[in-house]
Amino acid sequence: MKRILDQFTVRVTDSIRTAMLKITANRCRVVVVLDGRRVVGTVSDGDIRRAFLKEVLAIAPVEKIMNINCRTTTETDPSEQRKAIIREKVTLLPVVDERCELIDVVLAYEPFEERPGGERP
Amino acid sequence: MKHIVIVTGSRGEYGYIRPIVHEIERSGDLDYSIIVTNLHLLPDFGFSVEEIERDGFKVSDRIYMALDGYTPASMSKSLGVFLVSVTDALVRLSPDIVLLAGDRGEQLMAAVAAAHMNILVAHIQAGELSGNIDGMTRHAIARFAHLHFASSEHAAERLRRMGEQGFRIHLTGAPQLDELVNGGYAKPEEIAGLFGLDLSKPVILLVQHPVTEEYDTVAKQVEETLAALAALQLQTVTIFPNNDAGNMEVRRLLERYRLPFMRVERNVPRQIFAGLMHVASVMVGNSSSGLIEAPCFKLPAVNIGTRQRGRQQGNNVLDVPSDRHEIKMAIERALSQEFRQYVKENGENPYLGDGQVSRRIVEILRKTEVTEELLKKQIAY
Repeated sequence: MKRILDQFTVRVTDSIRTAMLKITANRCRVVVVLDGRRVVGTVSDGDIRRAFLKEVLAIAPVEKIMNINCRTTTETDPSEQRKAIIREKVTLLPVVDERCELIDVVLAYEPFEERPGGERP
Repeated sequence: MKHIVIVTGSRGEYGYIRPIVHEIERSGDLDYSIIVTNLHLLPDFGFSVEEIERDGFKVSDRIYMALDGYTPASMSKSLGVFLVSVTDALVRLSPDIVLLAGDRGEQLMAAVAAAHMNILVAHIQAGELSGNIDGMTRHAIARFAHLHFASSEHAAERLRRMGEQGFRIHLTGAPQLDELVNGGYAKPEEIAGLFGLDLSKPVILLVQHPVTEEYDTVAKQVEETLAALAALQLQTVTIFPNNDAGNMEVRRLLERYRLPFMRVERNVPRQIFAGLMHVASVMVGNSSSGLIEAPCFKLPAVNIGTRQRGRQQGNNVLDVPSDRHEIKMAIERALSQEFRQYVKENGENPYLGDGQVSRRIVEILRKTEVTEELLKKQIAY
């Protein structure tokens, strides 16, 4: 099943606030930053927290604070993708083509599945 | 107690001064203040003032100077901002010595301010040849400096020939090599984890700065390098350039045309950068670290374009013009077993680095009496 990618992405010019809204909605703690269709970085809860500690404003573009050393995979086989996300120890791994354009995302867990223990953090 | 003010504006010269500040702290009879400016204070460049504070050093002043735009005109105007501010800081700190390093504009501004205020100026990495505006800046600093610390006999000789008096010139070596010689760099496992590298395969380390005089062709130059890398398809780590004119273009291109096998980072702490050099198979670009630091790791370096033209270099360096085919061929040659073996056997570092350089420099600073003879310069030849 192909995911609807919009909930996992922001544009490079979007504000930090937009990224926060997306992260809140997608429950993955992270969004992928796109320039056109190319993956140029990721922004996580932690990136935003660290940016606020440096007094960056929520209206600043995500480009200023994104993690540009983000991991991606070019694997198309689901079992290889699963191995990759475990190896990289991330909650979300962008799947890209040879031009670094986003094709899909792999998630470490399904955010909307019922999990023992009730509410998600 | 003698008070030394140190100025740092970029990660490059922070590498020179860090081992020296450690030495100053150990000396017990010297005091210091660090004025932090330019790149260290910009989030886009990694906000590396945090690294300085993590090292436990005292930052006395943070001087914002960088006007946005990063054009030749904004560079010049930013330096003006710094000259005004650093003067006020020097009035307040009232040091005995201002210790400068390298060839960047903010260092020259500090030299101009201190010399006018009758404060002794000492300059690390003096007398070397480096390309373009940086080279002019380095030699301009020498005119305002009262003490020169040269990293090679060549550099010392150049200072003498430029009319600097012999008693001011000290052949000390390159302090940034101290930590490398003494093993102060991140372990391969840490580097592999940070950048997701498979160390059983070749790793390219790319650092390409804009060349300010070639502002109009910066984009073309980066495209040529990226095209060569795209043809090679090898895992590559690239660190963003400094904020000279043209940097926005370089960063935009590196961001936009990064390939799935490329890892990009804004700025990395010094020991991580050294750790990268340690695990890399070849260094590519136009950073001086390919010429000065890379020989410590017997690391082949493909040096692109004019930025380091004329600078003293060892056998590890392959010079190429900014042309995708030439760059690709040079990288392939650098990766060959034959060339790696050659560098291993013959890749002596032309810069003096025995692990004792910062100790030597601090010893000279300790012993130097700030006399009228030292402060009144005669430039004659």
